[in-house]
Amino acid sequence: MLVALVAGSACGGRSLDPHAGEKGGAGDDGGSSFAGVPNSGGSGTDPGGAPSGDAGTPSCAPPASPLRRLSRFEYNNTVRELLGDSTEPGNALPVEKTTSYFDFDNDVASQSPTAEGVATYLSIAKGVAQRATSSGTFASWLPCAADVTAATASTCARRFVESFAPLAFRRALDSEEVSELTDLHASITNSGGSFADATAGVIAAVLSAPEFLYRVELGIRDPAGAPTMRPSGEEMAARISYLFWGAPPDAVLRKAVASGELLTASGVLAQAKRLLADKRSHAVVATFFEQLLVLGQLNGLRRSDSVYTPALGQTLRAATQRYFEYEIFEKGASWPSIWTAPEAFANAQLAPLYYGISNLTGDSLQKVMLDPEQRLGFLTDPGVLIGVNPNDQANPDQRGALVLNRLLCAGIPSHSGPEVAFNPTGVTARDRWLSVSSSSACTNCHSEMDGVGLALERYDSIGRYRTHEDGQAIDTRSELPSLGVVDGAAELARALSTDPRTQTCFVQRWLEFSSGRQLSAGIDDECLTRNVNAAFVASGYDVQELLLALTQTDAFLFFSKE
Amino acid sequence: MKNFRLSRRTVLRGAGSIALALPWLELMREERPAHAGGPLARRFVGVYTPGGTVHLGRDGTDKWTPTGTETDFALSPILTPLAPVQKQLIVPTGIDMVSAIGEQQQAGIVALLTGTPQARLSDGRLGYASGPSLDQVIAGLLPKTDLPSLGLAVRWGTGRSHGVTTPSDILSFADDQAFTPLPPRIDPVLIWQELFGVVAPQGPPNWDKSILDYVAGRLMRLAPKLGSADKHRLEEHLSRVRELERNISMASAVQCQPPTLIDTSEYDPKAGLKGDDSGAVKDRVTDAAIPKVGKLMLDMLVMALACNKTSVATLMWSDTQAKYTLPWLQLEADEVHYFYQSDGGYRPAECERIGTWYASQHSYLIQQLAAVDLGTHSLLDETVVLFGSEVSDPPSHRKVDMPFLLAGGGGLRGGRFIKYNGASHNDLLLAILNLFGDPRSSFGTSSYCTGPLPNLS
Repeated sequence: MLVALVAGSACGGRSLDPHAGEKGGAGDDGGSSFAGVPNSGGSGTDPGGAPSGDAGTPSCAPPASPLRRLSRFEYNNTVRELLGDSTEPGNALPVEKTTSYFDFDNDVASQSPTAEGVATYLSIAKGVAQRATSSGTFASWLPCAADVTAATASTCARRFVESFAPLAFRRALDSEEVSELTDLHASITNSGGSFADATAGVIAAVLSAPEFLYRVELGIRDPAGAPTMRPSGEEMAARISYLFWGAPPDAVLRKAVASGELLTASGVLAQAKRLLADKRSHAVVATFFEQLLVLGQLNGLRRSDSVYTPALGQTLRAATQRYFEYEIFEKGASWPSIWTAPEAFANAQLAPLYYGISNLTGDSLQKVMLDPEQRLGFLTDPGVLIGVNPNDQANPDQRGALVLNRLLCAGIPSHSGPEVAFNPTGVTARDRWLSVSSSSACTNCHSEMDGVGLALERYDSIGRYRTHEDGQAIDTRSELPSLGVVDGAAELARALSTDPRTQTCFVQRWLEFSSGRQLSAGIDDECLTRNVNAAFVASGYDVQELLLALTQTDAFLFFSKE
Repeated sequence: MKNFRLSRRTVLRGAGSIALALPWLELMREERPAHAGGPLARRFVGVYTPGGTVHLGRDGTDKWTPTGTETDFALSPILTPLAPVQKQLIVPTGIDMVSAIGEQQQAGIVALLTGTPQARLSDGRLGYASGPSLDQVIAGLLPKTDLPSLGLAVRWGTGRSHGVTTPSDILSFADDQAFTPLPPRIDPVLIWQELFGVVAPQGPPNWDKSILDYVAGRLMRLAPKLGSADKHRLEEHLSRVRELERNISMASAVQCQPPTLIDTSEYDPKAGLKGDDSGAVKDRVTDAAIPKVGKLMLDMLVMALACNKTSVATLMWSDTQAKYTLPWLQLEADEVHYFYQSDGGYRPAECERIGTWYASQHSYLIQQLAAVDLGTHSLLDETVVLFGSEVSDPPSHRKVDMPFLLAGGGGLRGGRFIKYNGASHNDLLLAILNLFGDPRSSFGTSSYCTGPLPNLS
């Protein structure tokens, strides 16, 4: 399956893998289009993967490779791998921002260096350096430091620089770069610092350098396509390891660099499979869903309902994450089936509150079966339902916007119309919101947004199931412009699970998250999305296969020089 | 061919949509407007005094409002101690604290830095703020320091506060979802130890300089190898590194000199715990130490800024209950609160003496900030100092024509008496926030904010 999938997704066909040109059977483009932009078809090439470079009309050109800054999550993982520092010092960095047009916090366009950020880089680097060179730990990772003397100091310093700096920069250093660091080491000892002080200084300097903080890709010329570059083996190792682990390359990947296997699509795929199968990939997938479904908002969320506490919010967040981990990594589920899976995760606190189960004991999360009358899949997950409503109410428009914008890529703009008050005397949300959705200025966006949200009204502001609001029965029937009539969350989830927009949007979101850039409305990104989507369709919407397919695109295997 | 395609894509990415314009706003946010008048705002100090001021003295004259024109004015009796710093001072009058909705005085202190009404607790009682306080928002904008912010208080938690956190005695509220009330630090000895007691566990600054030199060198060598957008980002990164180098050499300058920890053993910072609702229980020994403890607090506040321990500080001269006596002003018989209340027989002459004393303390603070030389400018030049109270008129608790003062630099144009006619205090808070480069167009409850208060810079 995967071979076909891979071939089908190789868009420009400039693969270096001699096998990749053998066309597989995954040419179906899924019949969908990118983000509402019609398939241009202007290039006239077969999206199935015929080598278009030969035809002289490049159609699916890879994007440029902007510098990507290590996120706080990646920074923490990286210093843990490099120096065993598990204090998560990166949490002191300024929180990455999401924007109204990009759901993830790794958008390169919003990563301009701030004064606070740069000052924090230095201070946390010094913290890491001090811990690494404290008397208890220092000699354990740098044995020559244990009995260092004036006579051995420079040899030991050089040994340290030569082993540490290439790991930190994720590439080999030339001799001048090594000397720069040994000189820094010497200058600190010459000004009265101890060997440990000087080593700490070098660590702090390396961890503050752009080669560490950013993923630099200078690339090597792609012999097959003149204006196209491909990441060097070292750069590719970092691409793969940060994609799947949010961490620097491990020893196996570094060995793969040395053997040259990362210069082929199949070599990349083999490593991608290995990393995805390792449990370290789960945290990255968790980060994706955390940001896609705004679960982070459960942190510090307030509710006037005293049943809701910050601790409950944390448990809900963990339960939602456990659900996706279970579906993707244990069940190997497809994306449509994750929309309609009959289970959830709960502990003794969550089970009675949300799932009508009273005999569950203990704090740990266990799988529970859902009452199909009440809940289905992740759309009715209390963490998802609550996290999207930062204020104290179950606002149908916010729930609707989550579904339409984040899961269907419908692109409803952030609030642009006049402020129309909802009717405060309405007993149910449907009555309260009618004044908004029926107002002529608002109906364009709100009829669908509120319609989706009203189908989810049987979950209150803390996600509990209910049939009545203030004594009045809740009507969950909605007529939606794009889906027709749905009555309630289960029907909505089933209808959306098979909607082609749902699948294409999931592909688009993964492309954004994995590349840290907004997809542009041009033919190249359209082509990219179409081809990954074709692979996704061909795999039966298998989520793991989708993640592997991300590494087999021209956008991953190549980049263009600005 | 290739280049043309790429630039077309770039154009497409930026054109046609309002949402797509956002990254540019983000970029512009970094570019803080340079003021002809001196350095940018980098520090914030907020000072709270209890009980408003005296607009209508016993003799029928206004004891707070200056007389004269905007740039040529005579200070009022209460403000006379500020004469040495008049050139750095702005006296903005006619500002109303409209967002102070709730209990009379609690709502005043809650709104003072937040511009929001008192929130309702789930049991129906009045609670704390409905938004973060200005000092906390500013702290989030500025480079990280050992302490994100430093809240200090003298003779805190009196009367009904009973020495604990209540809506009567909190000035700062965290910039989090709960707007968590942040009680001040009250024990001068512990504060001194926290700020100055431990030698920072870092190497001599010349090592920092070597590290930053190395980083700057790497940035300069890498930037030319990259495309124009990335090159620009690294150049920005480089200028931040250069700024940091300057800050580090500044912090190590002789101006960082911890104040002497004087003996304050007779002062009980927790006297509030023993207080009663009415103020009948008095601690005149602690009260008598207020001037010397207050001076130590001010000295520590100034040096916390000078030593880069923090960039944001607040000082509360008590709380809204204000149930303490002032023996050094020969006002030891009754607690301050008594003078404010109409039912206790409002005594404007005593209130004027109290207000004048606080003004003299404020004058000392401003002069100490001005005395810290940062090389190209003074600490005051990059600090915005806001002085305020929870009410304007003591007996009525009215909150119109509030007794606010601004001092410092960071774009402020001092030496002025500005008459605003019923401007909203939210607009004042917003204007201050804008000085720190935050571009937002509203602060606090938006319905009370019409835009930044004009004419400050």
